[in-house]
Amino acid sequence: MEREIPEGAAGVGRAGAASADREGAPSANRPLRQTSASSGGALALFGRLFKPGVFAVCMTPAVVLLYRTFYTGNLGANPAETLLHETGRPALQMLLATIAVSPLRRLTGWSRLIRVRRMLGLFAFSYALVHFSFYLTFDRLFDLAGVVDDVIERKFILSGMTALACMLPLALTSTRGWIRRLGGKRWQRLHRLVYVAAAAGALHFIWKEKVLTAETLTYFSIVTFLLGFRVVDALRRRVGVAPLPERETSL
Amino acid sequence: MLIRKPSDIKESEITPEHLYRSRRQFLRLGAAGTVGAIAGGAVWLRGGGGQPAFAQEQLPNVVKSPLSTSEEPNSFEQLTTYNNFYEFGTGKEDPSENAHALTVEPWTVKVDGLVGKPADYSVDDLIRPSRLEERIYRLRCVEAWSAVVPWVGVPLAAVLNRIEPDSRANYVAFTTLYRPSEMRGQRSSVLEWPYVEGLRMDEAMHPLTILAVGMYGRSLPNQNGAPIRLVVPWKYGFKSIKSIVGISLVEDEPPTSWNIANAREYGFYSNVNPEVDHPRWSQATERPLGGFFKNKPTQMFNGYADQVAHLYEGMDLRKYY
Repeated sequence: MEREIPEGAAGVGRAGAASADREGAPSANRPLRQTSASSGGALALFGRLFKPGVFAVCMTPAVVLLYRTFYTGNLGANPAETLLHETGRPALQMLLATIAVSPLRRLTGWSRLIRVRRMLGLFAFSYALVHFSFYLTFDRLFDLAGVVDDVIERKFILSGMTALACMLPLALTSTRGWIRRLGGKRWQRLHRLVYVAAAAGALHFIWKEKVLTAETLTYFSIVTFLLGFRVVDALRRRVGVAPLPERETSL
Repeated sequence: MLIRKPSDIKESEITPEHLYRSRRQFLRLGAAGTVGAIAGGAVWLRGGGGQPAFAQEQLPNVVKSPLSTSEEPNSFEQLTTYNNFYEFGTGKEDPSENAHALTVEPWTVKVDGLVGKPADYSVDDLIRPSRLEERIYRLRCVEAWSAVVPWVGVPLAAVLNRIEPDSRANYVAFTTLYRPSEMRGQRSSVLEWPYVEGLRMDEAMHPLTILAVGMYGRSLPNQNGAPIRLVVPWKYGFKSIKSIVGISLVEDEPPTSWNIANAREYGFYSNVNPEVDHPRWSQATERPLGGFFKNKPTQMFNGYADQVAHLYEGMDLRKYY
């Protein structure tokens, strides 16, 4: 039996609208943005630059790494480890940013946030895929049997692989066409896998270090907090309490 | 392998830094996996011998040791910018950035326990009667990377003999300095401070075991454990305790820091063993510093089996990991 109210903070309509907007199709947000452009120029400019800005931020780790690899040649004493870290870390950071979008939008009422969610998720997946490729190349030397052994025997590898495996179907079904094909509810349910990916990714980082460090604990705490937010939100809906306030702004 | 002393190099022969940096760019692109295109790069360090350590004092009268490996040492730069020394932070580059704060002069090593000559020794008093030797050893970190290091030091056995161990002494316990004002990593409790380590008496007396005071012919850089550290080349790197302020001879197996932190993952012995994996990663292969691929097979006792395997005869090395 399907529940009456979808749990996902971003309803399908909104996800659809976001992608429609991206592809230049008309959407409800467009006239609103134009209205605000005339009232508050700076704010509107910020709104317009928001998505390209996020794109630039997401590209930065890749650009820095390419620069260090091919221009300065300075990847440190353990270059493979540098490549692994500097792709794994942004993958996790962007994954956390992806799941932070809905709660943030809910709390701030700033609906434009939703427009960068898919991009953040796809960036997270891309970094994770490159990260995995480096592991396959430098650590396992393309020995797939060795990878399988690693996954079976080591929670550290299993957790990373789980995160990647969860992100793969989400990346593949991130298009507008797939939202339509799967139908809103089913698409949404599938995409809750992002929480499994985030939790697995945070554990992967914790298990990579010999000790608990401030950095790994921070990421883990963020995942726990965001998951907690979603659970509380869902419970409130289920027991009939008004869900957390949902505001809309014109930006 | 011949290491040129920095003093032998004419000023004109020293490569300017910008050339040195651009020259070592060397790329290799590679490969496709099951999932897509995979890029790899390789940095090739020319001349391998490393930069001279201008900051450090040259050690006089160092003799070469027949116990050295003939393998090419890693560069001075690699060995001083990639360190595990949690007293200065958990990141690999943290020690090189933070260790300058450490005062290594004056330095006192407190020798006590079951010894005939307990006292507070200066580093000089402790090692001076022995001749400094260069020992080029393989280093295998428990994290599955490895290096080759040209240490300068003296056999620990000679030092222990001078302080006259009691016959009841079965173990040697070592302690690192605890000084959070200079060792900023000690301000957070990632490990229990001070760092402590230990060896069984026969391990401590083994000719391969040294107290190092230098590297690359010069006194130790702070991030490498100045002014005096242990080097036990057949054990994982963390056994080779740095910046020692205490040496105590004891009857019972002393506590060791990584064992306290996680007994399941780090045992007292921690001998390099490709057949006993770390619970979270394989120990069968290692990645040499400067290289990309984790393709070097790890050797039993880090390649020192001929010299040390007899110490562990009859012991189940899976149980005593």
